[in-house]
Amino acid sequence: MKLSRQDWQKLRYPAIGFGLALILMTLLYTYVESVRDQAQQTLDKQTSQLNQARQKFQTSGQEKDTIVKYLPLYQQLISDGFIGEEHRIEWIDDLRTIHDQNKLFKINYSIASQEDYKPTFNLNAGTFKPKRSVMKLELAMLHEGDLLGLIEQLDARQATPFILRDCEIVRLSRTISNSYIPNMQANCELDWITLREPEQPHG
Amino acid sequence: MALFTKIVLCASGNHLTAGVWSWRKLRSFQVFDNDAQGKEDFAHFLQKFPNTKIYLLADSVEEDYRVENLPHTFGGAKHELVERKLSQIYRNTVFRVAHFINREKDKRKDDRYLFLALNKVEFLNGWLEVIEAQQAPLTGVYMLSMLSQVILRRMRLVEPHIILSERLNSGLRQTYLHNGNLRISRLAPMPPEAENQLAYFYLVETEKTRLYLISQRFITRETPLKMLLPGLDDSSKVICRHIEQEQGIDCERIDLSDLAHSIHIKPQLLDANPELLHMHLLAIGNVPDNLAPASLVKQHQVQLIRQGINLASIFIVLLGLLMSGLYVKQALDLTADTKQAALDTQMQNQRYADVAKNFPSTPIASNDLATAVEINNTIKQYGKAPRRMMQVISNALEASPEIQLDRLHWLQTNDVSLKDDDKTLVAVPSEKTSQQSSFVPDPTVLYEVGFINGQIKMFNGDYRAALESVNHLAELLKADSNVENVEILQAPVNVSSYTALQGSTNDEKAALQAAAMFKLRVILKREVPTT
Repeated sequence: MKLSRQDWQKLRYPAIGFGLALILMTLLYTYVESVRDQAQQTLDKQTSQLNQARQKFQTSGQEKDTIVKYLPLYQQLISDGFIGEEHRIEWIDDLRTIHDQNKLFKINYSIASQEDYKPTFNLNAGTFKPKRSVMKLELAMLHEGDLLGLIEQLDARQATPFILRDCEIVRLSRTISNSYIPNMQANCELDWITLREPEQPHG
Repeated sequence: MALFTKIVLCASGNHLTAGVWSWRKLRSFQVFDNDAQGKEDFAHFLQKFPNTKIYLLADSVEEDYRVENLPHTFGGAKHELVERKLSQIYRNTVFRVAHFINREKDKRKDDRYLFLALNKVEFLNGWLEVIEAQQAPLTGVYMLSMLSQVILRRMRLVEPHIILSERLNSGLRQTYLHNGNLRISRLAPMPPEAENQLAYFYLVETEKTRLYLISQRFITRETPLKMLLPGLDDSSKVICRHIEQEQGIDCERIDLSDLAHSIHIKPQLLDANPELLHMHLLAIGNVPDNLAPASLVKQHQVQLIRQGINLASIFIVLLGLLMSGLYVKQALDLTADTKQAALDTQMQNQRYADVAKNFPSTPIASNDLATAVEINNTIKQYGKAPRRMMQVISNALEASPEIQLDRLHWLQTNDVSLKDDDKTLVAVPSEKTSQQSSFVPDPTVLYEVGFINGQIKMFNGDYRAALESVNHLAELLKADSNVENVEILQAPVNVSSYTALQGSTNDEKAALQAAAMFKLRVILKREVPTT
């Protein structure tokens, strides 16, 4: 069937109406769908908040227990210097004391500036920001027990934990002498790790 | 509404009957004479019903009927074959159609068609011109006789040879039906004087029809014919009796009132306008084959497209509104749920606040307090001196007094494949370094790794003995329960065919031999933390 100009004119308004209906209904549908999706998102968010609030209330007893159990420990960590600023003076004092008490040869030390720390082992830091200061120790030794004594006494004195990461012990002479001269040289690196408190939300 | 209204026309030589049907009911009808005034009135009539579908019944004397067999085909081939046959039979005829009767049961099982045509259409042209001028949607032109078989079907009359004699305003129409299917029909105009000799007129016309049927070999002289005379009163009984007596044809009068009641048309209307019965049958859905060419029904096709587009628009609007309404309802429900959830949240927070009044004051969240303590404990696990490594090496050296230790590089690392940065030795890889170790380290924990540099004391150039000593030391280390893996990174001498080897056979005597140095890598097992 071939349509004439007159036939097309007859179809013009229905076709325009069809197009308009299609456009308007698509716009309406899209708008209403977005309104519904937004309402759904708001509800999801609110439901999540409600679940958190319920959970918070339901575990309030446990929360109180946690505070009672961990708050003193936490305060101890602050006073030990694990949380907050490092107690560098105390550390150097400890080192000197150990040196004197054990009659060790000279100990050279250096503490690098603090930097952000990304542990290479499994550590859940939560909202805390771990920091590290790399410390280097160089000491001449009569025998290897000097190093073990130094490290273990430092560990015993310091409440702040450190990780002895790298230690190289080199023999200085072919034969071990019984006289009071260094037979070995040790170069060690330690990671002094501290935490920064998470920022508390204002208000 | 034009969508649910239809106009059915019945055109005969003298006049045109026009009826308006809506919702399967006859609303009104008008009769127009076949003259200029009638056509003008008809045009006015059509103007009252714009865009209303028009069905045109033709009640003509000049009709042609032929039964033909065609080879059984389908689809486009069937259409082409039928069209070719129509053009062959009715070359110059505009109004023509092929009506499929049935398929033969024997031989080639051909398709049997009844070919119909209107030979003279002058009586139609005037009305068609008016319809075309109004651009009214004509759906088709149909033969009135085609609806006669619908009457028989409705009345469940199934005799094999029936002559249906209908008295119409145009005259007497006698239709022959074989097994309920139309074969031929003829219209005999009724002269005014025949009104007084109706029985005789029927008798003469019936004889003509019978002779025609015999000549066309539809029947033989012995074929028992059944004549049906539809009527509203008992007057046709007399005619029937005459036909039976004179021609020996079994004749039966049919009461049209019953049929009229069953299809919801007033019988009184049929008294003056018997063709209204056929028109009504068509209006309620018994649409026969169309004789009109495509050019005449084009307006109807355009209207169908228009209606299709409008229906599609309505459908889209309804669907859009329905979906939108559904989403609006969902959005309202969700908003109500959100409000309720907000109230519940507020209530839970209030309850928590009441309970939390008695909690000790804490600078950070309770979970963070526990986390800080856990971090401290985890780090303390790795706060160890190289004591264990020294003990392991010391134990092994006690059984190997010929070996002297020169250097120990101890590390805590999760990268057990780390290279030692020792520059004192030139790397001479051992054969055993290429051996694959079954140890698979866990990258999330720190292992104690030790690089041991040593030499054979008082080495006299006996490389075989030196190799054995180093291998023995490695075996001793491996045997320790604290050791995970031992690797000889450098042997005193490399006997592999893949490396160069040089020396002097006088080495042992000359006392100028080089030192037999070696290097091992020892990885300790993880210490299980004591709780």
